[in-house]
Amino acid sequence: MTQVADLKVVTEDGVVTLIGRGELDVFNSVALNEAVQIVVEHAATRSAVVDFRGVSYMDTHALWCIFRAAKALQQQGLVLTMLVAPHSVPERLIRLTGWDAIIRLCHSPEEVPIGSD
Amino acid sequence: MAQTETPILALDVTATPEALQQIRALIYETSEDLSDAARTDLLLAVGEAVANAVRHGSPHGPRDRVLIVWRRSGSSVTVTIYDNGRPFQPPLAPPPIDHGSGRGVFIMRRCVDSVRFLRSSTGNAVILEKRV
Repeated sequence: MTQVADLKVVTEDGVVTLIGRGELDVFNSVALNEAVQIVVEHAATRSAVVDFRGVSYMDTHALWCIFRAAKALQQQGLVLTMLVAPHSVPERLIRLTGWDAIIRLCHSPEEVPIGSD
Repeated sequence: MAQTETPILALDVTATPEALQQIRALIYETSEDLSDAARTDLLLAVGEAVANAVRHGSPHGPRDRVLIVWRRSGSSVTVTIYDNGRPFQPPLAPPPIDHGSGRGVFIMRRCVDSVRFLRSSTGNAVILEKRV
């Protein structure tokens, strides 16, 4: 059994946040997919945030889950914000794919916009 | 006369999801003297190659093996990943931006200086080389 990703979704003041830790790859992307679905469903009209500052590794399959969520939110007029550690694997991967065009990258919670976009 | 060393490490694992973490840990530990950027890129490239080896290059699942050979020579690191897969044609171009699969090879090419795909006696071999 591969390590289950440590994921949780927190909703506070209308902001829904997916917090992830550990390593996210093709073999635990099912759990990630479930989690991002919750984010999309609860995003309402406020901010949606993915906090991956504690993610040490993610692959293209895990990133695809995030991309699909970002696209779904975009259709609701929202921008998915992703908190990442500077120079981390998630940040590098998103920049390499060019998906930072639709996923807003931030390094600290203070940079996360509050409210709808 | 100056002596040069070429450290070589090999890891032979079953083709299971757990192997991915084992291999990533090996890459992380063996590249601790590299810059953060080089280490991240090597980890991403090897991670994608090994995920492909387990998912697509291991038709018998956990009964198949994936072999990783890591070599440090001068200013370059070479990682070769062997699997038991059938021949395949690696994509030449990245997929469309909203396409879900086929992005792994593109990431490998962006993260290391050379990516080669060869047939081995048991399956496929992917050779990743990065100047560090």
